[in-house]
Amino acid sequence: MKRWILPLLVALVMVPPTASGSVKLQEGAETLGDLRPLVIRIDDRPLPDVALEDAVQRYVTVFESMSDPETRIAVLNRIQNLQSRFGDNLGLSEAETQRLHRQALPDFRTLLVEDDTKPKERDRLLYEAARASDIAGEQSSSIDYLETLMADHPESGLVPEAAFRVGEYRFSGGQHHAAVNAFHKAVETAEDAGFRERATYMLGWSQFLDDQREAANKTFIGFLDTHYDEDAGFDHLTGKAREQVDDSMRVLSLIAAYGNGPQSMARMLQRHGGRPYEARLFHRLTRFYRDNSRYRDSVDTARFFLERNPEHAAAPMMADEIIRSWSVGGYPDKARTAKAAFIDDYGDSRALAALEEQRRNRLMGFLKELGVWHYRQGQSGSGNAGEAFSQASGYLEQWADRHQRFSVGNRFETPGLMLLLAGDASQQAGETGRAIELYQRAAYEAPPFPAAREAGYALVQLRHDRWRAQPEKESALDQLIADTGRFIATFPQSPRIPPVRHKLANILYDNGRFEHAERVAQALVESGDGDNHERAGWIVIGHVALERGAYPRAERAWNETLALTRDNDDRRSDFMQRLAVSVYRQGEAAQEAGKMEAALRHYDRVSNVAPETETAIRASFDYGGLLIELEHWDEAIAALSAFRARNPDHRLTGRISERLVFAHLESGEPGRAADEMLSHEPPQLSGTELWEYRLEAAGHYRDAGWLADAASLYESFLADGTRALGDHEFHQERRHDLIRIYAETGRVGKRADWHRRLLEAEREGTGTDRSEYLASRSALWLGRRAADDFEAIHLGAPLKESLPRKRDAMEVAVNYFQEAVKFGFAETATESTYRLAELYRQLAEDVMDSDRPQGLTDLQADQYEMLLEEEAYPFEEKAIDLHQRNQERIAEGHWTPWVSRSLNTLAEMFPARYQRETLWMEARNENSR
Amino acid sequence: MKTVAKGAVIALFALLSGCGSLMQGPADQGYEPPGAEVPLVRVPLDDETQRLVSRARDLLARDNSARARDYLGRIEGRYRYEPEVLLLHGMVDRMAGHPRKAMTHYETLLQVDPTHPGAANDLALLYREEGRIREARGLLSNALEAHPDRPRLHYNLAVLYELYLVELQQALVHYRQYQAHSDGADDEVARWIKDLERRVE
Repeated sequence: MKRWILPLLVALVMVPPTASGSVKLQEGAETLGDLRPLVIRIDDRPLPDVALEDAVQRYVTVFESMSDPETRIAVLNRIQNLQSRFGDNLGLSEAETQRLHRQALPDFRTLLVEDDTKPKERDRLLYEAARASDIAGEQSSSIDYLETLMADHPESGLVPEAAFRVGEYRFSGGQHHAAVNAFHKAVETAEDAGFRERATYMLGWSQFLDDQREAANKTFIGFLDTHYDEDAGFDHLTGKAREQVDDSMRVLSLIAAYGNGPQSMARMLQRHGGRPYEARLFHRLTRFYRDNSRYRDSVDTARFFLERNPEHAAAPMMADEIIRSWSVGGYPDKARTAKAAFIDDYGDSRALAALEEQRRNRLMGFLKELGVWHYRQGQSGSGNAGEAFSQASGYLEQWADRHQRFSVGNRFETPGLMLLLAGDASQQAGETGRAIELYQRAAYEAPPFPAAREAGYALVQLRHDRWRAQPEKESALDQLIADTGRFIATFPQSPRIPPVRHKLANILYDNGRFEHAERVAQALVESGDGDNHERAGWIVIGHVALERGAYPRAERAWNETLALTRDNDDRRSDFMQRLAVSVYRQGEAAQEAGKMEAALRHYDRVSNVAPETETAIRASFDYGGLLIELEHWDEAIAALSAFRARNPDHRLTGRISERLVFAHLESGEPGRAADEMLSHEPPQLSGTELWEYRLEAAGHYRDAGWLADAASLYESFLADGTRALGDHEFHQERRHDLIRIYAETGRVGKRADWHRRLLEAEREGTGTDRSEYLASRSALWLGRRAADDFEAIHLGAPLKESLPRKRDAMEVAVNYFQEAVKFGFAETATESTYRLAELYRQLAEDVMDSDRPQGLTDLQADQYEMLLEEEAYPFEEKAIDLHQRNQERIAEGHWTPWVSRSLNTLAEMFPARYQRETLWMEARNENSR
Repeated sequence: MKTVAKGAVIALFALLSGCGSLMQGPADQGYEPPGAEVPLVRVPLDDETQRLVSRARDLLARDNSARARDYLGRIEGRYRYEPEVLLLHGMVDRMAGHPRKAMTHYETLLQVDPTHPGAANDLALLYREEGRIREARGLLSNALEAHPDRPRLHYNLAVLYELYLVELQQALVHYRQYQAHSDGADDEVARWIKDLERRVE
């Protein structure tokens, strides 16, 4: 049931709507005429004596019991007043109420027919008749009463109400034009501003529905004007007014939408001279379109406004509407684009600060949303992942930058987390430098958050990657080290500390920063973070200690490492090797310091602590070497021999022989040295080297006095090795060596044989001074030997038989002597000459001393003597000539004992010419003449 | 500075500290030994030294070189480098079969007196035995320039030319000089001269 305005207005004036009330019948009233409108008192007194429902029932009883139309209407009015006042039927059902009013209709007609009704009261009676008809369900009668009222009583104060109700009736009946007239009347006649506004509102609607759009525009603008406050705009409105203002704007939007939308709206406003709430109208239009699923139109409207009012206070709101429309319309891509544009336009600090809070919060949300969305795009692998990650990073960082000042997000949305995500995005976008900055901020600059250490770790990893990309860049390494150290210091509880320390220690070591590496490794060891990392610490300590020469510490480190290494670990042999090196180096150090006994002990120890390592073998080898250095020959020989027996195939074994040879030589055993050489000839020797090696061994045999062995090697060389080694002179020297050996061993036949071979080789080869000298000596030696043979032949009778033999023997000697002379060396030439001369002299003497034939007469004997002298004479002459030849060599500068002996022989053979006294000074007289 | 010269200089300083007024210039020596840098000085022997020298000489004449060495050993150090003393030392060592030592004494003497005929003669003969023929010839020739009337020098030089250098003409010259400066002509040498004259022709 529609409420009728008038009773309600009365009630409103009288009673506050929240007050509890009661009705008191007038005391002392004896007739119904005495009844007056109830005075409703609101005070602090006790509750009414009679309940409202009882009062209403009493009025109903009175109404039904009475027949007087005026009284009945008066009672009905009271019932209505109470119901209006308390907003309740107060015990009367709707049907009952309707029945009462229908029963009253004849009463109204009766009264209205009567002419005695006062005009002033008639308009009210018409009004009440209209109301009763309405309640009774006879709306047409009601409207008739109202139109009668308006016609008959144009000055009545009830006309606006009547016009309004007529307008409503016509409006609801689709009679919009009639409604327009009625509402016009209501607006024109209304005295109450609120009533007039409602009428205006309804007028606008009626005009709109009557296709009077311009009129409707004007009416609604007017309606809005009445509600607009310069300071508060429309925000001060509440309830129905607020709804109607919004509805007015909706209708204006609708009208604009019938036209060109924003353009029509703009033209309408232009016609009305503009309004301060234009933005609200455009805004409402955007919403209107959106509510009607016209998303593009909605966006176009917002854009229309933004293009013309980019600096308007409502511009952010309009931009936001674009986002909303695209979002609601199911255009996520366009929505994101709009959000991005929104961020571009209002994302900087100053613009953001200027935004209203709601808009600011939305922008913060957009930053995060876009950041996450682009991040996922990057992850999805579709499109340009790098670009996506880059954008994600930018948004997320921007979010983090603005967060402290503007964000109202939940506590999990810490800037650190976003910076971490941004850093990750940048890293995945390949923007390493930027990622580093973001990780740094996340880990160390943003307020602490649980994942900060992940940022710190990511930073370490990134530094590591950067350094790996530019390992030569010292600054990259410095940064890696610094950030790693910072990570360890800042997040000591991180489970990543051990692996980070592990890595850092290795990097520091690899880059020669031993001191630092050792500190980190020490921390690893002390933290006891687990076998693997602890072992890594010992490994680095071991390496550093080896590098720095701290070998005892290295030994301990490698022992610890091995203790933490499983038996089946592949690296075990490597660690064992390093342990061996640690001990070995101690040996070396001791050796360098002159602590030889300690060095021997360490070398010997290597085999115990790290058996079967290469270094143990090496140490064993050096153990023998050091014994040699210490001249402990017998021990060295034993150690080296044992080494060879234990390691027959090791490469160092190839050097054992050399050392053994040295040890044998130094211990005065050159023969054993030679035996060692020959029993372990180096397999890699060339032919030349092999014979050099063997001849060296031959030399050792000679030194040892093992001449047969030496001779065997020389003969072997001269038989098989001359092509491989040496020239003619070298070969002659070896023949000479053999000659000397056989001279020493008294093997005359072999000696003579090699003299002959030497001489023959000289005849065949191109001689040198040395080889010719040796050949001259061989010729001389052979000559002397032949001369001895010659001398041994006795010239016996018959001379004709013995003399030829002697001559033949002589010829051999002469040839050798002459050959010796031809080589032209004073030493051998003068001796050969001398001996040659002596051969002839001896022959002459032998001739003269030869046996005389028996039975010669004296004459024959004399003749025989003469024959002998004639036979001997040429020989003597020859002898003298040869000695003189030696004499002549004096003037040539050659003086040898053989020259002197020639002179002596000449003096003996030819004293008149060569026997001369030597006149020394006489002591007695200093001035002896 | 040669070793010999150095030893001599040391001796001279010792002498000069005792009686330093008898210096003579090097030009007086008539012979500049190779490498000599400091002039040598001769000092007259005192009586005792003269006596010891005479005694040693007598013993040498009787082939008693051992006793002669004893006497020479008693001579004061400052006279040990005097020519008379050095000559006797050379003779003692030569006769005792120490030619190397003898050569050293003679060579030292020749540092003091480069043309000393006795030292030149015996040293030349010792050189000859070692085959140092040309050095021997130089010593004799040099001594003969200062002492051309010494027949012994001519004789030994003639033998050197005849037997060792086989320069018969030179040998002939010096045999003749030997004959000329000897008190009486030597018949044997005269035969040699005739033989040489034939051979030269």
